[in-house]
Amino acid sequence: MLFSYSNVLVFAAVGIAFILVTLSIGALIRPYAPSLNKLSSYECGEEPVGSAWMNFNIRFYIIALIFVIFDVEVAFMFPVVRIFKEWILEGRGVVALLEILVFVLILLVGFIYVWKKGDLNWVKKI
Amino acid sequence: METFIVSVIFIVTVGSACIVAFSNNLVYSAFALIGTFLGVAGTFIYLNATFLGLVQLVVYAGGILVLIIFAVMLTSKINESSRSNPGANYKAVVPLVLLLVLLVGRILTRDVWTKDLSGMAHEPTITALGNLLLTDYLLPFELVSVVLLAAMIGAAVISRRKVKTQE
Repeated sequence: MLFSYSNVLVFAAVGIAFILVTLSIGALIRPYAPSLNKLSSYECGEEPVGSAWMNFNIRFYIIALIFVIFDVEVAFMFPVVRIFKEWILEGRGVVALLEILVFVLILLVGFIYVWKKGDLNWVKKI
Repeated sequence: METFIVSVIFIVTVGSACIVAFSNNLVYSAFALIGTFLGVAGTFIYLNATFLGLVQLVVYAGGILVLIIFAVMLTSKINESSRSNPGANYKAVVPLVLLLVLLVGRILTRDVWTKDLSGMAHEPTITALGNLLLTDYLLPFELVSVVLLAAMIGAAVISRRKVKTQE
Protein backbone atom coordinates (compact mmCIF):
# COMPACT_ATOMS: atom_id res chain seq x y z
CA MET A 1 0.00 0.00 0.00
CA LEU A 2 1.20 3.46 -0.85
CA PHE A 3 2.19 5.37 2.24
CA SER A 4 4.28 8.31 1.19
CA TYR A 5 3.77 10.33 4.34
CA SER A 6 5.95 8.01 6.41
CA ASN A 7 8.85 10.47 6.22
CA VAL A 8 6.84 12.71 8.58
CA LEU A 9 7.31 9.98 11.17
CA VAL A 10 11.05 10.00 10.43
CA PHE A 11 11.12 13.72 11.20
CA ALA A 12 9.20 13.12 14.43
CA ALA A 13 11.54 10.28 15.40
CA VAL A 14 14.63 12.43 14.73
CA GLY A 15 13.12 15.26 16.78
CA ILE A 16 12.32 13.03 19.75
CA ALA A 17 15.70 11.27 19.52
CA PHE A 18 17.47 14.66 19.49
CA ILE A 19 15.82 15.69 22.76
CA LEU A 20 16.38 12.30 24.39
CA VAL A 21 20.07 12.15 23.41
CA THR A 22 20.75 15.71 24.55
CA LEU A 23 18.98 15.25 27.89
CA SER A 24 20.58 11.88 28.63
CA ILE A 25 24.06 13.19 27.81
CA GLY A 26 23.37 16.04 30.25
CA ALA A 27 22.16 13.57 32.88
CA LEU A 28 25.34 11.52 32.48
CA ILE A 29 27.77 14.42 32.66
CA ARG A 30 26.32 16.77 35.27
CA PRO A 31 27.09 16.36 38.99
CA TYR A 32 24.27 15.11 41.18
CA ALA A 33 23.75 17.28 44.26
CA PRO A 34 20.08 17.69 45.21
CA SER A 35 19.02 20.29 47.75
CA LEU A 36 15.69 21.70 48.86
CA ASN A 37 16.58 25.26 47.90
CA LYS A 38 16.99 24.29 44.25
CA LEU A 39 13.32 23.30 44.10
CA SER A 40 12.01 26.71 45.16
CA SER A 41 10.92 29.21 42.50
CA TYR A 42 13.40 31.85 43.55
CA GLU A 43 16.55 30.48 45.12
CA CYS A 44 17.16 33.71 46.95
CA GLY A 45 14.73 36.46 47.90
CA GLU A 46 10.98 36.03 47.63
CA GLU A 47 9.28 33.08 49.26
CA PRO A 48 6.60 31.82 46.86
CA VAL A 49 3.05 32.06 48.22
CA GLY A 50 0.28 29.77 46.95
CA SER A 51 0.37 27.93 43.65
CA ALA A 52 1.43 29.33 40.31
CA TRP A 53 -2.13 28.87 39.10
CA MET A 54 -3.98 31.94 37.90
CA ASN A 55 -7.22 32.46 36.05
CA PHE A 56 -7.01 33.65 32.50
CA ASN A 57 -9.04 36.60 31.41
CA ILE A 58 -12.32 35.45 29.84
CA ARG A 59 -11.48 37.61 26.82
CA PHE A 60 -9.01 34.93 25.73
CA TYR A 61 -11.86 32.54 25.14
CA ILE A 62 -13.77 34.59 22.59
CA ILE A 63 -10.54 35.27 20.70
CA ALA A 64 -9.82 31.52 20.68
CA LEU A 65 -13.34 30.86 19.39
CA ILE A 66 -12.90 33.34 16.53
CA PHE A 67 -9.52 31.77 15.82
CA VAL A 68 -11.13 28.33 15.48
CA ILE A 69 -13.67 29.75 12.99
CA PHE A 70 -10.91 31.12 10.79
CA ASP A 71 -8.97 27.90 11.28
CA VAL A 72 -11.85 25.98 9.72
CA GLU A 73 -11.95 28.52 6.90
CA VAL A 74 -8.26 27.94 6.16
CA ALA A 75 -8.81 24.17 6.27
CA PHE A 76 -11.48 24.55 3.59
CA MET A 77 -9.10 26.55 1.42
CA PHE A 78 -6.48 23.78 1.20
CA PRO A 79 -8.27 21.83 -1.57
CA VAL A 80 -8.78 25.03 -3.55
CA VAL A 81 -5.13 25.98 -3.23
CA ARG A 82 -4.18 22.49 -4.35
CA ILE A 83 -6.04 22.79 -7.69
CA PHE A 84 -5.59 26.54 -8.27
CA LYS A 85 -2.55 26.21 -10.53
CA GLU A 86 -4.24 23.62 -12.73
CA TRP A 87 -7.30 25.85 -13.05
CA ILE A 88 -5.14 28.81 -14.12
CA LEU A 89 -3.51 26.63 -16.80
CA GLU A 90 -6.98 25.67 -17.98
CA GLY A 91 -7.95 29.36 -18.13
CA ARG A 92 -10.44 29.12 -15.27
CA GLY A 93 -8.29 30.93 -12.73
CA VAL A 94 -10.57 33.97 -12.47
CA VAL A 95 -13.58 31.79 -11.71
CA ALA A 96 -11.74 30.01 -8.91
CA LEU A 97 -10.48 33.32 -7.55
CA LEU A 98 -14.00 34.80 -7.53
CA GLU A 99 -15.45 31.73 -5.83
CA ILE A 100 -12.86 31.72 -3.08
CA LEU A 101 -13.19 35.52 -2.72
CA VAL A 102 -16.92 35.16 -2.03
CA PHE A 103 -16.07 32.51 0.56
CA VAL A 104 -13.59 34.80 2.30
CA LEU A 105 -15.74 37.94 2.01
CA ILE A 106 -18.72 36.31 3.76
CA LEU A 107 -16.52 35.54 6.74
CA LEU A 108 -14.95 38.98 6.56
CA VAL A 109 -18.42 40.41 7.30
CA GLY A 110 -18.39 38.48 10.57
CA PHE A 111 -14.90 39.68 11.35
CA ILE A 112 -15.91 43.32 10.78
CA TYR A 113 -19.01 42.77 12.95
CA VAL A 114 -16.95 41.34 15.81
CA TRP A 115 -14.38 44.09 15.46
CA LYS A 116 -16.92 46.93 15.33
CA LYS A 117 -18.88 45.55 18.29
CA GLY A 118 -15.68 45.67 20.32
CA ASP A 119 -15.47 41.96 21.13
CA LEU A 120 -11.78 41.98 20.27
CA ASN A 121 -11.02 44.91 22.55
CA TRP A 122 -9.21 43.96 25.69
CA VAL A 123 -11.11 46.14 28.10
CA LYS A 124 -14.68 46.42 26.93
CA LYS A 125 -17.11 49.03 28.06
CA ILE A 126 -20.51 47.50 28.74
CA MET B 1 7.65 -1.63 8.06
CA GLU B 2 4.02 -0.75 7.44
CA THR B 3 2.88 -2.72 10.46
CA PHE B 4 5.51 -0.91 12.52
CA ILE B 5 4.29 2.52 11.40
CA VAL B 6 0.66 1.66 12.08
CA SER B 7 1.59 0.30 15.51
CA VAL B 8 3.45 3.53 16.35
CA ILE B 9 0.43 5.61 15.31
CA PHE B 10 -1.98 3.47 17.33
CA ILE B 11 0.26 3.34 20.40
CA VAL B 12 0.56 7.15 20.37
CA THR B 13 -3.20 7.55 19.94
CA VAL B 14 -4.31 5.05 22.58
CA GLY B 15 -1.47 5.90 24.97
CA SER B 16 -2.22 9.59 25.10
CA ALA B 17 -5.95 8.85 25.24
CA CYS B 18 -5.24 6.79 28.36
CA ILE B 19 -3.34 9.74 29.86
CA VAL B 20 -6.31 11.97 29.05
CA ALA B 21 -8.67 9.56 30.80
CA PHE B 22 -6.61 8.55 33.82
CA SER B 23 -4.47 11.58 34.67
CA ASN B 24 -5.36 13.20 37.97
CA ASN B 25 -4.36 16.63 36.72
CA LEU B 26 -6.80 18.20 34.28
CA VAL B 27 -4.05 20.28 32.68
CA TYR B 28 -2.03 17.13 31.88
CA SER B 29 -5.18 15.62 30.37
CA ALA B 30 -5.70 18.67 28.17
CA PHE B 31 -2.12 18.61 26.95
CA ALA B 32 -2.11 14.82 26.40
CA LEU B 33 -5.04 15.34 24.04
CA ILE B 34 -2.58 16.63 21.44
CA GLY B 35 -1.12 13.11 21.14
CA THR B 36 -4.58 11.69 20.52
CA PHE B 37 -5.35 14.32 17.89
CA LEU B 38 -2.02 13.77 16.13
CA GLY B 39 -2.53 10.02 16.23
CA VAL B 40 -6.00 10.31 14.73
CA ALA B 41 -4.59 12.62 12.03
CA GLY B 42 -1.93 10.00 11.31
CA THR B 43 -4.60 7.31 11.08
CA PHE B 44 -6.60 9.39 8.60
CA ILE B 45 -3.52 10.03 6.46
CA TYR B 46 -2.59 6.36 6.63
CA LEU B 47 -6.08 5.49 5.39
CA ASN B 48 -5.47 7.86 2.46
CA ALA B 49 -8.03 10.38 3.66
CA THR B 50 -5.52 13.18 3.25
CA PHE B 51 -7.98 16.02 3.59
CA LEU B 52 -9.52 14.62 6.77
CA GLY B 53 -6.04 14.17 8.22
CA LEU B 54 -5.20 17.75 7.34
CA VAL B 55 -8.39 19.07 8.91
CA GLN B 56 -7.72 16.98 12.00
CA LEU B 57 -4.24 18.47 12.21
CA VAL B 58 -5.16 22.10 11.52
CA VAL B 59 -8.54 22.39 13.24
CA TYR B 60 -8.30 19.90 16.13
CA ALA B 61 -4.61 19.84 17.02
CA GLY B 62 -4.30 23.56 16.24
CA GLY B 63 -7.61 25.15 17.17
CA ILE B 64 -9.85 22.99 19.33
CA LEU B 65 -6.96 22.03 21.58
CA VAL B 66 -6.13 25.68 22.25
CA LEU B 67 -9.80 26.22 23.05
CA ILE B 68 -9.84 23.28 25.48
CA ILE B 69 -6.67 24.45 27.19
CA PHE B 70 -8.14 27.95 27.49
CA ALA B 71 -11.31 26.47 28.97
CA VAL B 72 -9.21 24.57 31.51
CA MET B 73 -7.21 27.69 32.31
CA LEU B 74 -10.38 29.76 32.67
CA THR B 75 -11.92 27.40 35.20
CA SER B 76 -11.41 28.64 38.71
CA LYS B 77 -10.50 26.28 41.58
CA ILE B 78 -9.44 23.64 39.09
CA ASN B 79 -7.30 21.76 41.61
CA GLU B 80 -10.32 20.85 43.68
CA SER B 81 -12.27 19.61 40.67
CA SER B 82 -9.50 17.64 39.00
CA ARG B 83 -10.48 14.10 40.02
CA SER B 84 -13.21 12.18 38.34
CA ASN B 85 -16.56 12.30 40.00
CA PRO B 86 -16.68 9.64 42.74
CA GLY B 87 -20.44 9.81 42.84
CA ALA B 88 -20.78 8.73 39.22
CA ASN B 89 -23.87 6.69 38.61
CA TYR B 90 -22.65 3.15 37.88
CA LYS B 91 -26.19 1.97 37.17
CA ALA B 92 -26.23 4.27 34.16
CA VAL B 93 -22.60 3.83 33.14
CA VAL B 94 -22.44 0.02 32.98
CA PRO B 95 -25.28 -0.43 30.42
CA LEU B 96 -23.91 2.47 28.36
CA VAL B 97 -20.42 0.95 28.23
CA LEU B 98 -21.88 -2.47 27.41
CA LEU B 99 -23.89 -0.91 24.59
CA LEU B 100 -20.78 0.81 23.27
CA VAL B 101 -18.77 -2.43 23.38
CA LEU B 102 -21.56 -4.24 21.55
CA LEU B 103 -21.75 -1.50 18.92
CA VAL B 104 -18.00 -1.42 18.31
CA GLY B 105 -17.91 -5.24 18.27
CA ARG B 106 -20.72 -5.31 15.72
CA ILE B 107 -18.85 -2.84 13.50
CA LEU B 108 -15.55 -4.73 13.86
CA THR B 109 -17.08 -8.08 12.93
CA ARG B 110 -18.70 -6.85 9.72
CA ASP B 111 -17.32 -8.52 6.62
CA VAL B 112 -16.49 -5.26 4.79
CA TRP B 113 -13.09 -5.19 6.50
CA THR B 114 -11.92 -8.38 4.82
CA LYS B 115 -12.13 -6.86 1.32
CA ASP B 116 -8.78 -6.60 -0.43
CA LEU B 117 -8.17 -2.99 -1.47
CA SER B 118 -4.47 -3.32 -2.32
CA GLY B 119 -5.19 -3.31 -6.05
CA MET B 120 -7.09 -0.02 -5.93
CA ALA B 121 -5.51 3.25 -6.97
CA HIS B 122 -4.59 5.54 -4.11
CA GLU B 123 -5.00 9.08 -5.27
CA PRO B 124 -4.89 12.00 -2.87
CA THR B 125 -8.47 12.96 -2.10
CA ILE B 126 -7.62 16.63 -1.83
CA THR B 127 -7.38 17.27 -5.60
CA ALA B 128 -10.73 15.66 -6.35
CA LEU B 129 -12.23 17.51 -3.40
CA GLY B 130 -10.95 20.87 -4.64
CA ASN B 131 -12.37 20.28 -8.11
CA LEU B 132 -15.74 19.25 -6.71
CA LEU B 133 -15.93 22.13 -4.22
CA LEU B 134 -15.46 24.71 -6.97
CA THR B 135 -17.84 23.10 -9.47
CA ASP B 136 -20.61 20.72 -8.39
CA TYR B 137 -20.64 21.63 -4.71
CA LEU B 138 -20.08 25.37 -5.01
CA LEU B 139 -23.28 26.30 -3.19
CA PRO B 140 -22.61 24.07 -0.16
CA PHE B 141 -19.05 25.42 -0.16
CA GLU B 142 -20.25 29.01 0.08
CA LEU B 143 -22.93 27.95 2.57
CA VAL B 144 -20.15 26.65 4.83
CA SER B 145 -18.92 30.21 4.95
CA VAL B 146 -22.36 31.42 6.00
CA VAL B 147 -22.57 28.73 8.69
CA LEU B 148 -19.16 29.77 10.00
CA LEU B 149 -20.32 33.40 9.97
CA ALA B 150 -23.36 32.46 12.05
CA ALA B 151 -21.15 30.49 14.45
CA MET B 152 -18.77 33.41 14.87
CA ILE B 153 -21.51 35.98 15.52
CA GLY B 154 -23.30 33.56 17.83
CA ALA B 155 -20.14 32.94 19.84
CA ALA B 156 -19.54 36.68 20.14
CA VAL B 157 -23.10 37.38 21.27
CA ILE B 158 -23.20 34.55 23.83
CA SER B 159 -19.82 35.41 25.37
CA ARG B 160 -20.85 39.06 25.54
CA ARG B 161 -23.92 38.16 27.57
CA LYS B 162 -21.81 36.07 29.95
CA VAL B 163 -19.50 38.98 30.66
CA LYS B 164 -22.52 41.16 31.36
CA THR B 165 -24.02 38.80 33.95
CA GLN B 166 -20.71 38.41 35.70
CA GLU B 167 -20.30 42.06 36.45
